[in-house]
Amino acid sequence: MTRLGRNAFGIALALTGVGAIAAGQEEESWIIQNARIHTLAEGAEPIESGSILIRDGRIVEIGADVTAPAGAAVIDAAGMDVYPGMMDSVSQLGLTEIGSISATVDTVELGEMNPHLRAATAIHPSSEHLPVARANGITHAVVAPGRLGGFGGGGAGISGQASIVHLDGWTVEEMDIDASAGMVLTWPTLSTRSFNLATFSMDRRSFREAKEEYDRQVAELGEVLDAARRYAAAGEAGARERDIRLAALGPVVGGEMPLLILAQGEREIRGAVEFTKEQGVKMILLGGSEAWKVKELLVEHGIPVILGPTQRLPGEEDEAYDQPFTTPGELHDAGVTVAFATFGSSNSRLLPYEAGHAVGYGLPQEAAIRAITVVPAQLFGLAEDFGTLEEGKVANLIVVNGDPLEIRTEVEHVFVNGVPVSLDNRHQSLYERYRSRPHPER
Amino acid sequence: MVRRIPPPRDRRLLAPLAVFLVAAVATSAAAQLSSRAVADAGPRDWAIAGGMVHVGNGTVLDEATVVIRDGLIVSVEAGSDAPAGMGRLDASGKHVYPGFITALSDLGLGAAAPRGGQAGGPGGRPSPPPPSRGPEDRPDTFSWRLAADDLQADDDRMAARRRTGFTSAVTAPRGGIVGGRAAFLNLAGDDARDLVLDPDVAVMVRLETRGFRSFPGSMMGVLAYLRQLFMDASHYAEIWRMYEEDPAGLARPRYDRALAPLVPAAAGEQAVLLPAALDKEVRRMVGLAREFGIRPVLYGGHEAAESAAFLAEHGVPILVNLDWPKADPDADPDAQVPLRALRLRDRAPAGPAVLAAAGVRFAFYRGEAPRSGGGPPGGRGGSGDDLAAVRQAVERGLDREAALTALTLAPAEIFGVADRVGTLQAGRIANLVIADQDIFEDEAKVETVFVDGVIHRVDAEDDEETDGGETPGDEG
Repeated sequence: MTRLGRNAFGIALALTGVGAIAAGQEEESWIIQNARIHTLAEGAEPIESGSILIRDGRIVEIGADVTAPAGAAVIDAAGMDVYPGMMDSVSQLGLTEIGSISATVDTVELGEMNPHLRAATAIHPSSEHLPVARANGITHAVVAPGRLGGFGGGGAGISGQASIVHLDGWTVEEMDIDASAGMVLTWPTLSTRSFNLATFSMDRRSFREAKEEYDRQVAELGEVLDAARRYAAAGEAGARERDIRLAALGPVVGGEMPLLILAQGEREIRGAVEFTKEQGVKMILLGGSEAWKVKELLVEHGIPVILGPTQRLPGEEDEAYDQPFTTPGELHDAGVTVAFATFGSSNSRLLPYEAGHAVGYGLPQEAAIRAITVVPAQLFGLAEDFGTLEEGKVANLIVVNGDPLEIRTEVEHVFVNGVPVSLDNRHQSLYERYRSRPHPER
Repeated sequence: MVRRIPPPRDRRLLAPLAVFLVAAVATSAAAQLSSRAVADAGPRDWAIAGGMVHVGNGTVLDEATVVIRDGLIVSVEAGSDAPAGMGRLDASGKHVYPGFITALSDLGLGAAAPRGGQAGGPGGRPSPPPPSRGPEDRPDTFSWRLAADDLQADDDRMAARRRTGFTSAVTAPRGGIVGGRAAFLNLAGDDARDLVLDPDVAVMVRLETRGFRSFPGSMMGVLAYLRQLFMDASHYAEIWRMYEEDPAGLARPRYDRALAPLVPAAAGEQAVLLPAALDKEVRRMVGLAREFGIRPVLYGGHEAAESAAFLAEHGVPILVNLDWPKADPDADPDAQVPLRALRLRDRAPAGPAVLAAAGVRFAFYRGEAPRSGGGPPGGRGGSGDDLAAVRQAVERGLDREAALTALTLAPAEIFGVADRVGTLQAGRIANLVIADQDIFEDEAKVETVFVDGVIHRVDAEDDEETDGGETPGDEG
């Protein structure tokens, strides 16, 4: 049997399971039994053979001795592992379907200052990418507006508020976890060369020119935050005029909402850190290709990093070939808080392999799995409800037949918001379709 | 006129034109010389006495005298005796060299057109050519163009270069995959026609692409085009030869102004200038030349050290760009410079020493940069830079005599004019440089330059030169 065939077999099994569950769905409670449970709770060892009882969207009971209540649907997970559902810390799930068809892309607004945009508004609950990501164990994700350093680059400025959603639901409201989880800021890059899409060539300018523009952009950001502070103060003093942009920045200058600053180069990261310290606002670094050059700075200021896709070429010609792979381990060893993200939609399904690859290059296994579960929940203030398998938490979890960071591991069951979800997805249906295509006589 | 030249009777298609031009130049030059002799107040004939004379063929004569008459060298002999009836220039304690030759330039073509401007003749920019679809449209091919036809005597970059000891230059037409044919010039004269020593020394080729809208838009397109072009040129020569022998019963071949001038090059009779800054480009261009039996003269040579053995094996000469790769002063100070670039910057000036040791014939030029060679396209009129750059090469191990050869005899030989310039020998054109000390010493200053026997003094104070005709020299 080919590998694909085996996978399909696994998927088919999983489907049968879900079908059985769906039949008894009036019960509204589920119990997963005989599983090795990786709770990821602080200091807790895995439960070698335990059960999890799920009701009303939450984990009601977890442990080695859980009695199955009458009417609960039973999932026998003998020989399988249960983990918290994975969280993609930065994605564009639901915002973009097919990159080259602009009607399906809703990631950016015109202009450089759009703090009043909220990603949740644009999320398409029926996006084909959601079930694909889900089938690989991603149960919830941060959805961030902006170019996120994609093709064409540029896009410096505030692109809007990132929203955190469950990857299941008929409506955005059903999916909602936190519609305003962070303010996405693409840090200006100081670059003497830029790609000109109009002429399809590289434009060059002097360093002085580039520096002037950079300084201007940073100064403008500072001015906007100052204005937001004045606006908030005026509001408290009774001013009635409303400005949706400045209002949206209120939680940022108030220190409640983090700035999610996308910056790749060392100089840009340093600039962003300095800026947030001056402004007294919370910062989470996104991307961070050269974060390994500023480990001490990040530790000193307690700035966590959500690493961009690490399955890529080194940034500089003379960088070590494996620098993107070793960066997570280096940051972790230095004491930097690290989470992984895919920054995309169709590739969100690859999140576990971002973490898995880093394990191959020095990141401890435990830290890797935490970096796609517990850590992101903590970064976004969701640790009370997400990230670990503990009583009272939201039941976003996965049942797998091995190490979830391994490519060969298959996801058997996924619970999102306390409900088992279908693992059917476009990849699989296309597979089925072409497997059963008519064959000419062999 | 050109259009009425009959198709080739021999393989040297250009012969009629060349003969015509040479004749025209010779006639006018002779007229010029005689009229000038009458007009000038200063002496026409000179004895440069008592200097250390570097003949340029390896011989060095201490305390020798060079006698110049009617623009030619009459004698080079030991001693400081000067014949009577001519200007005497006391060169004792000074060094006398053959005039330096910059082996590729756009000197004499006037100031370069603004960047992005379409290369063309002087006076205005023609509108951009229509997009070409393939080799049949002969994209960016101007083989019929002669740099000699576009010269402007008032291009003051020539005087600037002359002040640094350069008396001759090879000038190639600007722009184009096949830019046209390069001329060998002497860098002095009142009239553009006085400049030309040989109007047609080599075909200038560049690996230029035309963006995404016109063929060729890629390197592979350019190379495919060049191959087609040389095939077509050979075919063109062949079919015209057959037709010339007996036209009866043969369809009349088509005249093609792009192909006709390439016939001598395709037959290996005329040099073709091919860009090759990096070693891989050297190998690529030599491969192309060997495939078609053409005689390559490479230009670029910033990885010459790597290419030296290969060039020696194939007997291919190379012109080394003295615009050594260096950091862009305007670059981002934090940008990581790749090791590759640092290595090139370090090694490029050491290349000539390796070329000399390997026995490769090489000459120097500045400016015309192949794609990856760095530096802006087109010539730079900077003064003093060339010798400073050669001194860098000397510092990095290049033998001084070899450096002198690369500035004099080597380019003369490469472009087939060594019977006229390149050495200080009786009968050669009187192009000389007099310096206050060994020219490869950092402090060395060029004091006097002779071009075609005419004296040009370099005033060290303001870097201006005074013409010998107006200010008679210190005659003995």
